[in-house]
Amino acid sequence: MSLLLRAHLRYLGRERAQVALAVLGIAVGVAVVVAVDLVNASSREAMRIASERLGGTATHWVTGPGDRIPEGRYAELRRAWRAGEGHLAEAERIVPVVEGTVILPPEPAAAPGPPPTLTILGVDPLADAAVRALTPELGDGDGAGRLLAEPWSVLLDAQTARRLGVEPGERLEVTAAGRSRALLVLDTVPAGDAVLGSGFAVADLATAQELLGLVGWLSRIDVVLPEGGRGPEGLRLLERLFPGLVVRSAQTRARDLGAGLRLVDRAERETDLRALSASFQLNLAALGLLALAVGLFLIHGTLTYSVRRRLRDFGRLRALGVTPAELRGGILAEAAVLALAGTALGLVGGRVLAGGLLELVSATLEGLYERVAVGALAPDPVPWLKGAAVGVVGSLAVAWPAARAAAAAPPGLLQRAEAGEGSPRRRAAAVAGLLALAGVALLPGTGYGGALLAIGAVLLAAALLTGPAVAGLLGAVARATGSLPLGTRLVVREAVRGLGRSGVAVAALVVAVATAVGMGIMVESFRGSVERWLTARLEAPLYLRLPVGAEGADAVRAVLEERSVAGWIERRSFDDTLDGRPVRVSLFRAHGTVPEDRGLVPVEGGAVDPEAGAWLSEPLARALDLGAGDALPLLPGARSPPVAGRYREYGGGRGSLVLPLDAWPDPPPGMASFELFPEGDPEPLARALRAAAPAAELRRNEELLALSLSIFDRTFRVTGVLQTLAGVVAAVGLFGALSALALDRRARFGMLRTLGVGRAAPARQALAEAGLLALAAAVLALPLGVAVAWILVEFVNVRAFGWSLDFAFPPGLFAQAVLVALAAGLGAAAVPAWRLWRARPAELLADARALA
Amino acid sequence: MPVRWPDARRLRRVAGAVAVLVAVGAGAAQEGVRPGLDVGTVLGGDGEGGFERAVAPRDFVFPEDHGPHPSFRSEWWYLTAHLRDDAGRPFGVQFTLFRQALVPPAQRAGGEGAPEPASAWRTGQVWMAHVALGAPESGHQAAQRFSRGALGLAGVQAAPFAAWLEDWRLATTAEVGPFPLELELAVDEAEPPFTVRLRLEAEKAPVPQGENGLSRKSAREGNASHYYSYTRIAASGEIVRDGASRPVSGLAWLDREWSTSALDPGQEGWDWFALHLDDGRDLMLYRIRRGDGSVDPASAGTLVGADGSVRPLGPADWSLEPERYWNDGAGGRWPVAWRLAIPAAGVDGRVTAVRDDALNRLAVRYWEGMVCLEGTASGCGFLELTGYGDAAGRVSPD
Amino acid sequence: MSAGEATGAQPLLRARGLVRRFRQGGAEIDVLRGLDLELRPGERLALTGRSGSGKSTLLNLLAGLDAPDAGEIRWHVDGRDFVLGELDEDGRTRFRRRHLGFVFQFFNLVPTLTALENVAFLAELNGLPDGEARARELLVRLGLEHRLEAWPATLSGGEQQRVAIARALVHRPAVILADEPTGNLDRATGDAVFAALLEAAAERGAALVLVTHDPVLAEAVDRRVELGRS
Repeated sequence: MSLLLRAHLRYLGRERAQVALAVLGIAVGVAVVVAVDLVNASSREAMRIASERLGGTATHWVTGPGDRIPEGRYAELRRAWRAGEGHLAEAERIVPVVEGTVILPPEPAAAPGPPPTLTILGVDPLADAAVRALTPELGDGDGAGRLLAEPWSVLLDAQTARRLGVEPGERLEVTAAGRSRALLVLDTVPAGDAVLGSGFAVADLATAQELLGLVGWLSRIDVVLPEGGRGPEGLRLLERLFPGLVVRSAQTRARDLGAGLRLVDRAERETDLRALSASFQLNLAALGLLALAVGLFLIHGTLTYSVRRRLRDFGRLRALGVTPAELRGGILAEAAVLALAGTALGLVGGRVLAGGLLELVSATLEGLYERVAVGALAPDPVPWLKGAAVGVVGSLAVAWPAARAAAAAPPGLLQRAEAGEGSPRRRAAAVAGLLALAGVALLPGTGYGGALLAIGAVLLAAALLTGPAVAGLLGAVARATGSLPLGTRLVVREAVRGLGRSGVAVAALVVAVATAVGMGIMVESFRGSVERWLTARLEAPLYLRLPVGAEGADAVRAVLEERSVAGWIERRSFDDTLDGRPVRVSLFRAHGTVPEDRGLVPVEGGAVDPEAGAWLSEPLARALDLGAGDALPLLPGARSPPVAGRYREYGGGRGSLVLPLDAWPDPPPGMASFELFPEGDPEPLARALRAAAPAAELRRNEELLALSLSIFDRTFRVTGVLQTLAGVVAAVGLFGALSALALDRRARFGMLRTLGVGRAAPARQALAEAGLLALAAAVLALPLGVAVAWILVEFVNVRAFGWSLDFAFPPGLFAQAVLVALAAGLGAAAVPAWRLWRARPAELLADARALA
Repeated sequence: MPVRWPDARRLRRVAGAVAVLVAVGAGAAQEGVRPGLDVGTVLGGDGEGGFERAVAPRDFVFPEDHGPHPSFRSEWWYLTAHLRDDAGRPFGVQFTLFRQALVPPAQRAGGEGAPEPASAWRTGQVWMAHVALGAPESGHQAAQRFSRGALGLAGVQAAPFAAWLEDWRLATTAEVGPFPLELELAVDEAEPPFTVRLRLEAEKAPVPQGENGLSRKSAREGNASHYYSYTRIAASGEIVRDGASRPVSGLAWLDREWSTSALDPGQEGWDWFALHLDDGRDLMLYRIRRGDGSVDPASAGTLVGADGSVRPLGPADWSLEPERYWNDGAGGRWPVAWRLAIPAAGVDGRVTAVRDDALNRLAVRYWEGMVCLEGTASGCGFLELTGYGDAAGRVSPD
Repeated sequence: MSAGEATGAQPLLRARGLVRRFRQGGAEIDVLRGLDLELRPGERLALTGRSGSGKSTLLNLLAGLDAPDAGEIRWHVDGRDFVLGELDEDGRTRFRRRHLGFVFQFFNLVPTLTALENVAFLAELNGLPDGEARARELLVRLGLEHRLEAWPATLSGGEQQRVAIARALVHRPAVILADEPTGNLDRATGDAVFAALLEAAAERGAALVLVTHDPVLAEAVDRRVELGRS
């Protein structure tokens, strides 16, 4: 190693405190990034496993209009496929599926809520094992043979079997299609960690059809198309690197297979499952990157400062014949050491942090999707590689300006170098302005990715502007304190002067607080909108559902009329496609007195009257670019009334469409449901309905509302944790900056103490300065946070998920932000202040002599 | 003699199920099938209750007996053809459709309270098809499919005769049939995919095997099948592979057999020969090997004269010695060259595999390939070997 | 200033038996070993000695910036005795603030205060009502009337030291402690600044303790104590 390099590295050895802080900053940043990615990868993996468990390797589904298709169509498709003909000639597999739910007997200590259900997955074991791992193969412990041979036989998921205390060979009583059935549990299938909540049972197609009242019908046909059908490779890599970034494949359209059958991307059909988790992962990933950015700020600050402090040394070295390039290399080498140490530490820390986050996240996902549980970290190398790359490359990148500054040191012996303080750079303002402009320019016309970039640009611009802006703010404070004693003025002036050192840390704090404010507003807006939506959806005290294939709608109607129920809404719902896009169609009719909003929250205000025309869910309307008065695309079999309006929908990516019941004279098969508004206690009515329509699933809605909102809150708890982490990194940065400032000022404080300034003054200076900086940061962060929230609410959400949110400010958010900033600032200043307070004046002076 | 018994351990347990559904060995992971399948035991016990058994000679009634016999547990339509292209290069083609009942027809209904009509999928039986091609320029290729008889996806009908599983199909072009037959096999799952198209015309009337169609497989009453054969069928058509169509022609053999229970414990495997002699005679003989190395006395054969006359053969009528073995790389040694002498028929010569690797590595692992006889009589045909599988497959029954 | 005037009066400073040790890499170094020192009001004393002889350490002890390991420092100002060892940190600070003036070699001025403010700052610390006027007057006397609002960074070395001298005197201290006040200046400027210091101190009757390497400066004062000779 060259002596020059050795000198550089020894410098790091001498500046242990600063080095430690920089390393810590980068480590926390990398750790958060890695942890978030690991957790995201794990939750994605868990979602994939959960989805693959029941969905298998199928890439596409064949569905019909409505929720079931005649089984003969399967035979036709399969024969054509074998003959290498038709739309599915390319497919690797084609297998039939009958799916439905049966009701489990109530558990002794059951919590109130909807009755527990069991998903029945009816498959043809002879064909299905190649698609679904849980389907037994012939010869596989005789499971397949017995499923085929034994009526009412099922393989029960092990977890449900354990919960219900059912052993293989025993019978399980369920209510299916309104009848009581005794299922024979042949064996259990491993539920795996990925399966929770509503259990499932695998049955032979014949059993499933007979059980669910679907003889002659299939729910769908699962199709495995070759890899190529699933979107470009690059897109998927991008998705792995930036989890949640690619939410939807580029507008996959359903393929028409003729006679009403359509081939739809399974992912598209599962967007319900995906959209929310994508939004969730996006939040996490963004926060992870933010924490890293704050960490990089620290490295940048530390190196810049250390270079400024050493300019005189560099000048001497230049005079001795060291080239600028060598100096630059030396600083980059220092940065590399910091980066490697920080990154290594960060990777380890990320693993630890991920373990903690995982619990939060899996609680969230379990809440969101009953079949998903994130049990363990997925062994995915990408998060590690990405964390390492981002940490090292990012550090070197932010070290570049400092390296250049070192190289630019004028050769010679500078007379005096009072280290490290200078005015914030002016060029930053210009760059920031450009960035902000670019950010705003990104807003119109780009996807939600553009909107996210815009947020990044705005935040970066704000970070660059923080120095000048804080200087301006403090300047104003200085002017306002012009008539106060010099001692007070001194505090403000020192704070301004220290910005060269502390500015970067303050910028980090601004970004962290602004993000917290922005996310806070977004989450609050989201929550408010979802709550309004859910409240409307769950307005009916009693909800009744008749599964596909179940009889009883007439019986229900008879009960309702006989008991003169005050009002009810009847729906028939089924899947269809509109303009090639999978949609859920609801045929709607209101009877008697029902709430004015009819369970739907309009986007534009006013009342919703589904009997006046077609109402589209907001995501669907946005995807199709349809608004009130537009003509509805053709729906075969339906009178298509013009679009009457749009209503809010936060359920997922798949759109829904509400039509008047009489708009579809002979609708495809689907599910019937009733929202009931009885006067008084709904229980007697519930009893009567249960008796009249045994197949019906009845649900009391109030419990569901509370449950849904608690799930929502749990979902965003993890974002709170990450925001706090970003804040902690910012506080660490501030601590580093303030410590360095205190160090720089020891000499001056020594002088002041000598002159007779009290021992509390330096400490007061440190605390007051930190408080001022924190306040300034908060003042800047609040409008910035609102801007971030605005982009999140008005652009990102609308573009990514097609839903709009009502802007809402969480009560006390601003006060909270100010308090957080102050806490960070004062917390960061506490140690330096205490050290200054404790030091003897002579020690402070000794530093001055040493520096001279 | 196409009751195929891959291994004694399974045989004992399954006793009577279609042996092909009772597999050893490592079949390729195909749709829905894992090697080592043992459907026969699904009902527990001997599982034969409710099924009819072959106990007496049978006067076959056609065309009905060309169709399925669901009161028996197992049944197959077994076609083998040895063909040559214009250059005289040999091609072996096998198509077999198996029917295996999981429950007797009387128990085929759904569970208690099941709706009427029951699901079309509640057939209580499974169809399995095997296709194999031995072509000169590549390795032996084999594929299998499974299906239920639901929605017309698989099945056999007596008249007009048709046997199919999805788009693999053997069907008559006549009003009743079964001949002339057309065989169409498009095997996309093979690598490379191939298609076989053959037109088949019987040159002799069907021959009842054993005692007037009762083919005993052991000394035990009821361990027998009903069995008849079309021993000599003229075949011509094409084999398409790699985009090239090759005209071929030759002779084929169709076996029809159904049973509920056939073999005894202790019977280990099976060597089955079906040869078309150049002089117009057709020779079938099977040798059942016992676990102790002896030949089971139930081994038997038939010599069909050029005029259609039938002469039964017993183990005392022939001498049969393996001369060369082929190692399948998985522990199995398969005798692919034999010394065969049937003094009474004037046959003395060597039966040698045209290609050694004719091993069907399917759910069932067995050797089924084209052979030719040279000696005092000559001709070509098919040899089927079972029970020579890997070491595990030969573990003696416990 | 004659020696006779001071003879009968109580000394301004009486230091007895000052010991100060420092730990350096495990070894103990006695920088001062039982030093005695007296200073009369108005007396000008030069402390000289090699580097490491304890000049600055002694200055720190006299100012109460550091505490001796043994010995006593007794100041007598305005008819009161101040025994530094008996005062607490705040007491020492107040004593310094009121009765001592300082001129350093480096880091003399607060960079965020103007020349005038730097001087007025000490008046403000001492709660003097007309601090700014006094500061202005002093600076004008020191020839800096045109630099009153200048920031320290824009002042020349000589100007900076003049501001420091003004600050050291603005609250009329009994003594000025000066640590190499001209060490950073060229000869001519240094001499001018030193002359200004002597003159201003004399004008206000302040005693002077001067730490210096410079034999010329050491000769120019009333008495010279060389440290580290023993």
